[in-house]
Amino acid sequence: MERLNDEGQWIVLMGFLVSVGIFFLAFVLSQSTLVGQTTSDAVLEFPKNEIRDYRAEVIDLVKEDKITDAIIKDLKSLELHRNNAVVNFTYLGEITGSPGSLYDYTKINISFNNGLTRYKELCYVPKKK
Amino acid sequence: MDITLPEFKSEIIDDRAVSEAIGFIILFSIVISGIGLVMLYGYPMLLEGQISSDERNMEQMMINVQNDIKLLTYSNVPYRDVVLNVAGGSLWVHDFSDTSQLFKITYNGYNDTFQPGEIQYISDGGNAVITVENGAIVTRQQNGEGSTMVAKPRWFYDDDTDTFVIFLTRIKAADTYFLDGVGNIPMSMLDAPEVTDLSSAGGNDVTIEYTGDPNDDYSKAWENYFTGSSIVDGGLTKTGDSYVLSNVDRFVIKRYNVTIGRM
Repeated sequence: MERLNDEGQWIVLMGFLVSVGIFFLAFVLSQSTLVGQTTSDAVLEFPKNEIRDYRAEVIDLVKEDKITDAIIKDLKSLELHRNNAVVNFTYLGEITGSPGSLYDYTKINISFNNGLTRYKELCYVPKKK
Repeated sequence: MDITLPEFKSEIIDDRAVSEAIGFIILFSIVISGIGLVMLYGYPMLLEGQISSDERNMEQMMINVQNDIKLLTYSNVPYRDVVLNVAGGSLWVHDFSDTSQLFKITYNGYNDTFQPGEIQYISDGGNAVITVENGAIVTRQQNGEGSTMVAKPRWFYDDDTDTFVIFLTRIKAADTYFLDGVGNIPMSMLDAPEVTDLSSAGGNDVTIEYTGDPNDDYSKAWENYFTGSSIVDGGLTKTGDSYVLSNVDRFVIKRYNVTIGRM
């Protein structure tokens, strides 16, 4: 019987390896769209700037002693219409700094909730004596 | 000196009957019958796999559609185009006035009924029906009872202020639209959302009732959403056909109208 020429067997083997590799890559690729989608959503939906905005506004107003019920009402309405968020502000009293210290403090509570993210902060706003 | 070479003895194999052609025929027939078996048993399985992968892909596509609706509604983007590939079925857009699903909302003398409309995928080969309805993705089987929610809308209850916020997203279309294959859904939200901000000192009950279309019923999905703990821990209380949340001081309804253009 005539012998077959089998010097090219490694080509077949390489073909096999490459096809397994392509399967693997296809699997990874099919997963990546899903993972990318959900992570980018989570990043986009996190309301970092909204919280900082609201927090800065409230703290500035407290610092300058300009906070009134009317302003709080407006802030609540704006946050609801613009950011779909329910915000709250509670005044918890003045705290006198120890003798010799440079600051007195106003104790306030800030909360922000848009259904996905909930943020609560107990804040001591410093005021120069 | 004589060198005697060892006598070369070759064994003679009688291979006159061995033929490469016959060997090839035997191997070839094994391969062909193997392929035949795979076709016979594997092909229906392959087809089923294709159908279920189409349905899973469409679930992903619907999540994309829902994300774009979220961008329109929550992020105040006016226009949005979703490019998608509808495989193994067809995609329909029904104007809210053509659907009979209904949400009835009651709070402290306030009464409202809301028709959401829908964007719906119906599988041809399989049984799945996937629908975007009122900001949620719900799915059911054709000719089958029951339904589940794939993605939830963003209703929430803030227990600091006892505020319950619900979002009602309505799908508007000038006509019933249909899409098969690659295409895009042009979506727009040009009217400002209507906000109803109700409050009652001391708290009151919010009652929500969902009425499903008997031929396109997602009441089980909505029941699981309302009574589950994604809105509030413990969920809303089911009484008869409606769901009740007690002691709500402030109740906010935000209403969005999303208009779908010609596909």
